[in-house]
Amino acid sequence: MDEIYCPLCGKPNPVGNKFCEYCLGFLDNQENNSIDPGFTKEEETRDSGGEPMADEQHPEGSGDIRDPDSRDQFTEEDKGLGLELPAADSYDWMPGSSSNVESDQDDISPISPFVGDSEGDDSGEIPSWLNDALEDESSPETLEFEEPIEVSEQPLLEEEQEIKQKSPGKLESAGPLAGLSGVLSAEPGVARIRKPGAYSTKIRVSENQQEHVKLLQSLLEDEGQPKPLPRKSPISQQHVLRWGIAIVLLLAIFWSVLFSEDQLALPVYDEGSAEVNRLINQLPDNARILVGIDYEPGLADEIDTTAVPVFNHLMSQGGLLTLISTSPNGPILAERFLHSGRLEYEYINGLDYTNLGYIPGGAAGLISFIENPQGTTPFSIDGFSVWDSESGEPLPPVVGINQINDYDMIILLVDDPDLARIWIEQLSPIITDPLTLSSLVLVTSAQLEPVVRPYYESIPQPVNGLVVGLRGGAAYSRLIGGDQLPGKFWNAFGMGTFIAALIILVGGLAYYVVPELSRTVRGQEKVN
Amino acid sequence: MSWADWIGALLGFVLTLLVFSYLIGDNQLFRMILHLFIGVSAGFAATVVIYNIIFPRMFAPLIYGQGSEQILALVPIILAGLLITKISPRFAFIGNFPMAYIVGVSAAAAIGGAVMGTLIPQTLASMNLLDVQASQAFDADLGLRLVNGIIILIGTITTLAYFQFSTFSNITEKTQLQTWIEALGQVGQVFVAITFGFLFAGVFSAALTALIGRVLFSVELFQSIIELFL
Repeated sequence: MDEIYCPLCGKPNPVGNKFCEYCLGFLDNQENNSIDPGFTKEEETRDSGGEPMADEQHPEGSGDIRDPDSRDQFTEEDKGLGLELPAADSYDWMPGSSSNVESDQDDISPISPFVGDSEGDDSGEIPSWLNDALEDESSPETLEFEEPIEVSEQPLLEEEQEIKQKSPGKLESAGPLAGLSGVLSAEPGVARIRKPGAYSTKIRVSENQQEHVKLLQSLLEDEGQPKPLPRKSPISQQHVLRWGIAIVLLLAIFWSVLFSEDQLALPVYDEGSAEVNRLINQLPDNARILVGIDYEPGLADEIDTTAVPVFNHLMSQGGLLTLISTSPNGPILAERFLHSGRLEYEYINGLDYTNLGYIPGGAAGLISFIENPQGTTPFSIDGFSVWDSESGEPLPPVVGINQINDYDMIILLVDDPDLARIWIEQLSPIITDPLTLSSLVLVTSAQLEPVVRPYYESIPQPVNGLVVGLRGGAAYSRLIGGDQLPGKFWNAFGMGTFIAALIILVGGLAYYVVPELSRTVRGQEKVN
Repeated sequence: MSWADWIGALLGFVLTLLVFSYLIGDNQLFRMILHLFIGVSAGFAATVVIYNIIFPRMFAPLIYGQGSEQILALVPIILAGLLITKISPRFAFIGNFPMAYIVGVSAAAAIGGAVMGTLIPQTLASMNLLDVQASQAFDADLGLRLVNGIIILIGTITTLAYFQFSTFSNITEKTQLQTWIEALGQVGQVFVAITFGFLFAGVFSAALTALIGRVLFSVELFQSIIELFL
């Protein structure tokens, strides 16, 4: 034991000193003030929350055990290590222990900070600086300095005794307040003078956590970096498929149009077309026909081709036409159809037909026209008064027409399911009336057949006749016995339909067979 | 053919080729044709509306008509004027009145037509297929008609079952469709698939006809050009 540590400031002092060289605190020269470096370090680690004190050795035996918290800590933590808490009597040597507070008050005499304990042991030497001063007898301070030592040997002054009696607390034995009684002790943790634990400012990160941090950092950096889009091949599999189908279809159609000489047989019979044929045959001479033109230019080829045989038949019967449309493009398509040169008869505007133009308002406009044709469309598309011409008579196509069921027949050329449905729904009460002599006939695109056929099949029939698509037109052409439909058109249609069916069949087989084959090949490779 | 016909035919041929350029992929030429087509359609529709509707039905009665005609002509003009306020956010609320009138009338016409023209008649027609006495009056081939009626009945019920997603809530058991409804739905799925196939065939047939029309047009144009020079 070379050094002893001050219980107040914690600094090392030579063994034998009674007072601390730094704070002049009382040093207890007992062995439990000595230091076991290893144990102290461990204890410091506990006190500082796991952070050992770097450069300070704290005397375990003085401050900590005197601290009740430390005792508790010792009891709870160290019992498992086989350490036993000493009995309370074993702390009697401690100045501040609870067991000897009373004796401390009696035994400890007031001590001057400059005077050593007269009853101290041999090691209670006077500090060197004090010794030098004492040896210097010529110095007047020496005489004065010796006086307090002697005084300290003397009994307590009356005032001091009075204070001691009045204040039952213990007398302070060290420090600036030495000799005073009733001094309130500070909190044990605060009173323990020592350096604060050296806490590291670095975050404790394990290697695994560091790896994760690096990974996250790299991910974030990658997010900010622009990545080039993957280069798409200019010719993808989809392109090849699309071009292949288009080439096959176009070659088939061109071949059929250019080189086929024999015309494919027209459909033998179509019930809807036959019904239309029958209705037209029953029309009176100069029958008034209302024609609704409600298709778009995109499907004009199909509708026109389908309607040509029907209108040739109708014109051969001398039917007078009134054209109307709920589409803005309808009036011009109607004019184009009548004057395209595909019809066998040339009709004259105002004499054989009149074009009432466009009805705005969709279903509401159509209702208005059905209920009051004269009020809804008083003028033709070229601006002439239809119902009351300059001669005072209506134009021939509308003579005798006061309401919609005065027409002998209503023919609707339509390619849109919604428009077809609106026409049928609004005309249905009139057409299904047993007293009406009018009939409704539809000439439609093939894509409308699923929508309009139920109206034709049902009883009572809101639709009396149906010519659907190119097939319906071909069937009608065969019924009237003329060369109404271009043979090349029908041949190309047959060839195109056949090729399309073949493509669908081959594609469907490939869709199911190719994955199965590749799966089988893979299985064989695994076996091998 | 006149020069106008020649120019129109050549222009039509070039436009057809540009539309076919979509086979290569979406390109500027194809888009240009789309814009051209939409622009021409809109321009023509506006012309038709002005010359066929707005002037003869709105302004002509106001200018050339007499007392009652002029007053009646004011109604659509006022409503149209109110509708124009929709372009201003501040006065747009004024346009709500004619808009409400248009929507109300259109909805009434559409709903009335759908109920009286489609829903009730088609329901009755489906029921009549199984009415033996009524069928005898219309069709001599009674057996075929009955078979047709039964197929339609099964198709209608099973298709409705296929689109049935409601279940009864039950705390103790897992909520799921009843087995017999699921079985009906499986049958209905077949009818739905057949219907879609029929629709696809119709659409393809229409598109193929349009393609043949364009091919025929091109071939006839080239034949005319060859005849012209030979």
